Amino acid sequence: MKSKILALLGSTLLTGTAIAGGYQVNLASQRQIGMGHTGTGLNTGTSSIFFNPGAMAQARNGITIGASAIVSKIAYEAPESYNTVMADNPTGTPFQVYGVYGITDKLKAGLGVYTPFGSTVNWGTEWNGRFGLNELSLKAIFVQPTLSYQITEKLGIGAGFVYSFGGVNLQRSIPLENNEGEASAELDGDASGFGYNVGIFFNPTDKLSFGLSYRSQVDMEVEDGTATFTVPASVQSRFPAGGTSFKAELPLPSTLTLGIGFNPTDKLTLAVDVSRVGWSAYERLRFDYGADVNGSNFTENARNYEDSYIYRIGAEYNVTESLALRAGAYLDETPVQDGYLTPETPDADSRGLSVGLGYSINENISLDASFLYINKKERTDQGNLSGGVPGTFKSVAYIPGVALNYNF
Amino acid sequence: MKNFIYKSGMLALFAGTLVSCDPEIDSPNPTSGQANFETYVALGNSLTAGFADGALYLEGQQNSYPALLAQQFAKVGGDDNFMQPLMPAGVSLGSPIITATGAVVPQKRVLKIQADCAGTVGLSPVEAGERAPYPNAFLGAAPTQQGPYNNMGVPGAKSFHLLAPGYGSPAGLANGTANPFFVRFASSPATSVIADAVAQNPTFFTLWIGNNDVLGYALAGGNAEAPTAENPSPNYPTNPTAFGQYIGALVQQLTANGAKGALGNIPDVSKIPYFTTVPYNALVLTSEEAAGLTAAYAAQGLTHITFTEGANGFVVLEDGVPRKLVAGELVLLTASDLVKCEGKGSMAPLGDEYVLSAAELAIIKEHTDAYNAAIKQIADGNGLAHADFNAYLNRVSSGFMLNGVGYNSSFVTGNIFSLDGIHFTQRGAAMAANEFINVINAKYNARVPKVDETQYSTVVFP
Repeated sequence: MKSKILALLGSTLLTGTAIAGGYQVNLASQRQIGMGHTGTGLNTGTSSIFFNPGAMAQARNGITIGASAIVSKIAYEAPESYNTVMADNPTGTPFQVYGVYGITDKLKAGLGVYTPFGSTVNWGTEWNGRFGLNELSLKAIFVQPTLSYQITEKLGIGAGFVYSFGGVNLQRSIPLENNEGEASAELDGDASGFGYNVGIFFNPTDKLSFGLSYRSQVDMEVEDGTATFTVPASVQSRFPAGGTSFKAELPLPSTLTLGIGFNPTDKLTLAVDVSRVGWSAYERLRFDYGADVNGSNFTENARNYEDSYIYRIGAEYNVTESLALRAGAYLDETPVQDGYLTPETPDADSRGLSVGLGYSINENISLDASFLYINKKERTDQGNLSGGVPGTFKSVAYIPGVALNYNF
Repeated sequence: MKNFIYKSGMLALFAGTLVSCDPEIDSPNPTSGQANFETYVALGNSLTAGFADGALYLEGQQNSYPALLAQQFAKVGGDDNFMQPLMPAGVSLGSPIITATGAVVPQKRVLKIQADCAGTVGLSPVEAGERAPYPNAFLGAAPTQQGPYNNMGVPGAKSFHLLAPGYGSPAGLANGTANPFFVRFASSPATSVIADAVAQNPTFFTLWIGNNDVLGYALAGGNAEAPTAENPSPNYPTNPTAFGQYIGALVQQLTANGAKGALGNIPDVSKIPYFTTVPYNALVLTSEEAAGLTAAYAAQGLTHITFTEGANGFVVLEDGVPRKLVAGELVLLTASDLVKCEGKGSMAPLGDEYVLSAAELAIIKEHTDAYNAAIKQIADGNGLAHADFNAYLNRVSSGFMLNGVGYNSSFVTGNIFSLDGIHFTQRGAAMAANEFINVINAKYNARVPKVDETQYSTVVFP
């Protein structure tokens, strides 16, 4: 069973679509998605590896495998065109695999593999913003070995090391044409980076728990990407023949989260999370080429994102011993300032509503299912400070997901 | 387990029904507002006709700004059958060049890689084929669409030409009272442009005329005296008072049945690439060359003409007296081979017809300003929209970005001007259409959708 699901995951596109603030994809656990993606102030089981390594010391030994399907839709209308076009985004499949094992009663080791950042957006080669972007695919898979220690009965701490790998593929049209059509550029490269995830978990009473976690910034670096240019023969001399190499760096921002969990009854769990996301690290998108491209060895566009907050609430109600129902909501502020909107991440303040259910088949095996609806505010922007595309964007996403938990 | 599979199946089904729920952008519907676009007629000159790359040809016509306006008007009640005197495919007609030895018709220009006069291989605009004999080329290029024509743009027309009976008469070609481009599609030899336009009973019109009233003077390097009783001096800019009367008469006829419309004003022609591509001081010398030239002029007693190392103003022969050009003065595009390969402007002075002096530019500005004051006054007085192309070209001249593309008034690479340095690319025509749409929407509370300019070609590279 496990190997089959792993094989299935391996065969899908390991990407998210731009559905949270910026290019963050907050889909780390099916149970927690159902609860508005709260969880820093809870013992979330194996997914504490992500939400709060400090709580992992309390988690049962076990393995969780889950995945979501992101169906995202982005509408765009050019200024005064009175005509809407849609991005044709492929379905993204972010996933999560967590395993926790107790070395001693107080010390636990865990390994998480998950996809907290990504974006896949496809505008095609005909829309009016094609000189900014045809298609972007950004993938980042985090591998996080983690240790967690129960200092006292009420206090746990944990820390994980993050190795991130993935890649970027960006395609855009170039405003130069011959009789065959427009010129184009494709940038493709593997990227990797390092970071950490630390947390502290404190449960003073049975009814109340607190958590604080910090997931560090990870700078994804493309060391040796490939940039290729398809241009008219008469201007080929201005572009590197056969392409060139490029370097780029994309910061995956830090996230500091304070969470509170509250159990008013045995059957009900309530949770609140507030996160501060360090988006201000994303100041520019710069590509440095190995050779001159149309007279310059780099391109750079300002991004100047701002730090932003996410506010989450969630609830879980155990209807029976084996069935739990969940619901949640969140507000995710956009990090993108006015004038900086781009078709890569046509971002706006977004509202998320989620439902979920958990079902325990037996003592060891349980299943989670979730459904998240994301609605971003309609946003009109000139995009004039970021080399973007002027117009109005509106995005929604529908995200069903399932997970299997095996505890031992 | 079965229970769960059933439930997750229902969830997937639920998701499936939601998938069809596309996001919607809250924008109003297009509307014609207080305008009626049912029958749209465009009057003007070569810009209106869709002339580009030095010639009238099919693709330029199909993407002329009036054709693009009509396409947008059709979304708010306009007729989608906009008729133009289209050229046969693959045929092009430039403005005839008539000399003592004969008359020929230039062909449209394309970019080619070839050696220039100095032997340097590079991209340059060249005529795509052999020049054709005049007037036979025109006779062989009858319109492929039937009239009446919504696009009444006539290349070369000045303001008063639109009022002139017989402007389309074959018999008037020899003495210059007729225009071969109008002869192609005039409804009769005796008619005028305005008569053919009004006969269509337009509900909406655009009138953008007057560029040639001053451009003719500029293209002649300002080589025209103010007209007198003895010398009609046709290249001198049209008298501004008369210009206002011509525009007034045209508008009076066009609005007689209550039609609404838009007037375009006249850009500063000195900002188009034809006049800005060759800098006045493109004569770059070493100190030895400078000393040699200074000595050569001194030997002829012209000690006021000296040269220095670096950039120098070209030497021009003005009213028989050589002098150096100063900052602000302009050299015509046609001088580029002369200064590059024939030593003109340095070893020997450039002819006055290749240069716009400060005094000539002042005459151009004075007339353009006066024309534009008249156009604005007539537009306001008749409740018509007013497209300020003068301000628009100033914006182009400073350069701007739109949808990730840079636009400016550079030759070949500026994306607005075609390979003749005067007329629009198809992209430039789309931008002009949007300038009209902006003011039409504002004036008539309309919401005519803007053209997606990126769908139209700029200069095509080999």
